[in-house]
Amino acid sequence: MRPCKLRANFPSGVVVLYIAAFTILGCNRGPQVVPVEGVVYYNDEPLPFGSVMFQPIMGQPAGARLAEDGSFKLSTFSEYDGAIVGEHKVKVTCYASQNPALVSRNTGGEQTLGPSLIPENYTYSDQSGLTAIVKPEGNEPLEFRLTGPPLKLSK
Amino acid sequence: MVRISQRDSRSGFTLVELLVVIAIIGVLVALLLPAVQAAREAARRAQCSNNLHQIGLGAQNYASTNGALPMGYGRTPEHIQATPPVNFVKHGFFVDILPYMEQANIYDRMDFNYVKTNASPYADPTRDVVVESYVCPSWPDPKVTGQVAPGFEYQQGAVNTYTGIAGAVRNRGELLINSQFGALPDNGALTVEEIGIAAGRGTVKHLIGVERKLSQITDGQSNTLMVGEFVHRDCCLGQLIEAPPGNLRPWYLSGFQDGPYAMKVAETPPNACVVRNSGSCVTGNAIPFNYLPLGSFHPGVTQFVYVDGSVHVISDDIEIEVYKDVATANGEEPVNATL
Repeated sequence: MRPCKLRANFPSGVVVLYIAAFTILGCNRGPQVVPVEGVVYYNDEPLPFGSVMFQPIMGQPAGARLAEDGSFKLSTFSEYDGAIVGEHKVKVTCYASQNPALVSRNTGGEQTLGPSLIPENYTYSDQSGLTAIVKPEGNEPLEFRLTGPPLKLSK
Repeated sequence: MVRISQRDSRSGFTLVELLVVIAIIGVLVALLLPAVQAAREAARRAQCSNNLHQIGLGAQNYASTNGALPMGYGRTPEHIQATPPVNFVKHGFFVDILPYMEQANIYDRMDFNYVKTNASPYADPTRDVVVESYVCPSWPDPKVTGQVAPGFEYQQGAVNTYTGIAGAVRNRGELLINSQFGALPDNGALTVEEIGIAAGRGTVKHLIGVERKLSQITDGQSNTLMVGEFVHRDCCLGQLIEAPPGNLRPWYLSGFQDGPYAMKVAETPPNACVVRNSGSCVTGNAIPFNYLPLGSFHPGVTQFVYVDGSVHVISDDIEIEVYKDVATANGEEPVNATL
């Protein structure tokens, strides 16, 4: 909750307006979310599938799927709304089951993600070494460059 | 005569009077109803906290008898070496503490011989027996998951709305034990280990359960989470998109192959809205089963029992690094997050 401050000695009309605004909007507008997009490269080539997750210092993480050209557009509370303003730890995942070329069918049993196709440290927000700062006034497209053994895309 | 007729016309209420009274009663009820609902939820939350306390005491009783906390996941080489290998494991945290929380009658009825007799793990006499301490009263869905589609029998049975804490992946030299459902770190109050089992000419590494000695909880028992509420259903942009029981599993099963059911790694804050694996959500969260967030139906908070048996609430707005500090048992960060 954010504290609401009312300055004294306002014209009564403004006070009425404030009260009306509080009753309609409330004080808690939630965290500020701004649009964020970017690209993930793996060994200098776009990572063709997978996902990114941005974990803010506190609160709901933002995430996005990677498009075929490695680009992503984050969503937190609604489609493509971006990420919460502030520092984020970023993780990138690229699991075998995320390959859109593989048709997955859920026939029961516990589903797995399959093996990670990129070094596993990138899939943990505390080990990836990837960070981002989301600025309230708008953001340049982000760029993450990962390296590791060549990507094995099994068909 | 005139007087009597006047009195007649005054007896009873006019329509307007009646409507005014009904309107006033309506306004009063509308004002009161949210308060009543909030009071009912507060009572459920208190009951839910009491359940966690029971679980904490059960684990401490187990520890004073056996010298260590119960295994989070009771998988042993016996399960792996059986022919064919036994996929479902019953022994685990929530099964093994039953005798220590006055539920020995349920524990004694369980069929643990299925490993030797090769019987179906689903044919357990206690499968549909609700352990009241394992279901938070705020859980709005049936306490027993009924008929399921073929192939999903492991979801059938009495639910468990709590889960153990399997530590957190930091960058502080913790071991990561491989699992196809997400690697498990070795720094939780409940944890697992990896052993080599002879197969053919060589050995193959397998994940098995391990008991956690209280002396290994070097952050202190009052600074380490043991069990918390877990009600996760796949969630996309604030909307639950999966039918109950979602990612909950019945209490009588403690895990499948190398995927424990009774332990989760702290990766996202409690009540984070994420999808298991990839799902179809635009956020594309690739959260493995072992990393699903804990959470509750209480507004804004989730309750946890620490190893020492004390129950605390943790806000959804906890700093993620503080959450990971209390989720680990030996991370040299004796943080006490009573928020």
